[in-house]
Amino acid sequence: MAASKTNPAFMTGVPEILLLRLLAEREMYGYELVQAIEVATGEAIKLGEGVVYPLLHALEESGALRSRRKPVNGRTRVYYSVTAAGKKRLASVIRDWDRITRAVARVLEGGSHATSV
Amino acid sequence: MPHRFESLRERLLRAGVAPRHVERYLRELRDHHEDGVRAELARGAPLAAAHDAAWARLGTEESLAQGMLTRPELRSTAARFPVLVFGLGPALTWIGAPIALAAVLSLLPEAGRRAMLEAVFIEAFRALCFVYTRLLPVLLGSMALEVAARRRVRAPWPLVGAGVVSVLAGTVTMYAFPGQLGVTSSLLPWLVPFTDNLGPRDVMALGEGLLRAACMLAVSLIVQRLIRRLGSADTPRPAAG
Repeated sequence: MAASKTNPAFMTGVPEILLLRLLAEREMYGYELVQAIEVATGEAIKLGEGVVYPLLHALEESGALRSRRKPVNGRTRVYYSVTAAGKKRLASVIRDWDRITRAVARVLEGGSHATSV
Repeated sequence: MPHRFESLRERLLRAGVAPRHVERYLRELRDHHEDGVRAELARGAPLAAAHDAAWARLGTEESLAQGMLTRPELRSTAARFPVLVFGLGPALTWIGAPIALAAVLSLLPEAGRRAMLEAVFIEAFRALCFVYTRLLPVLLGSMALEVAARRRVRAPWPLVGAGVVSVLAGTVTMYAFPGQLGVTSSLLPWLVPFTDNLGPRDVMALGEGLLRAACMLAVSLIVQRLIRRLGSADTPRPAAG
């Protein structure tokens, strides 16, 4: 039933990248966002659904996101969207992610390593 | 289900997460759970199973709590600086109030300031002195205690803060006569070094002031309890969705 658990040691910073990237495309509320992450990653990444909210609140506190309450199908939900500062932050974390993944890829491909003296 | 959110609320408040973040988090978790139940029902699950599945997808209470607790930016100012907010806040506010009032009065024209000392204003000024030295400290003390109670602050600082402002105010006497305004403190002579001519009258004055302070502190505690009781009687239980 459940996909294999994503190794938490590899997940540092990943939820923030995913949230900012998806919210940069369109505003979404929390449940919608969690579903979008599963779909976009082909269910390779399954976040604990409730813990997405502290990250959303923290990103809003830092100015990367804004929120508003919006009615949807007779209910109201809090929708989040990326601010201009959030877009800058997204660009910055993507650059960092790129740099790190290339560096790791180089090591995994068997690049230069220390020879014994 | 509401019980799980209640225990999560208590845990987060006791850990110092700002109440506005806690309430919003719980509201969003309820909304999310409701959406999860609808999705499960749409898949044909029975109601009880839909609730269980939606709760399981939200995560354990531990993971939900840790999600907030690991974010120091969501802690309240009171949790980060309890000594300043609860221990010193009431006294600093009380001391600052007349400074703010003096700043406002300094904006009055000279004629207006002279008129303040006329007899017709003396009674109003005496009433203001009573409010400042007896009612305001009780209000500040009970506010500090109530704010601390809402944030589940257990440290002694709220009581210390209410006590300090009660002592400062209880040992102060303000008087107003036509052409003369003044303030005396029965505590100050004991704090000023090298004051060596304190006698039985000073001891009695201090004792009277401290007794007044104790009464004011007791009233602060009673007022805070009344506020708490009225608040819990008026607050409706949060509705789902």
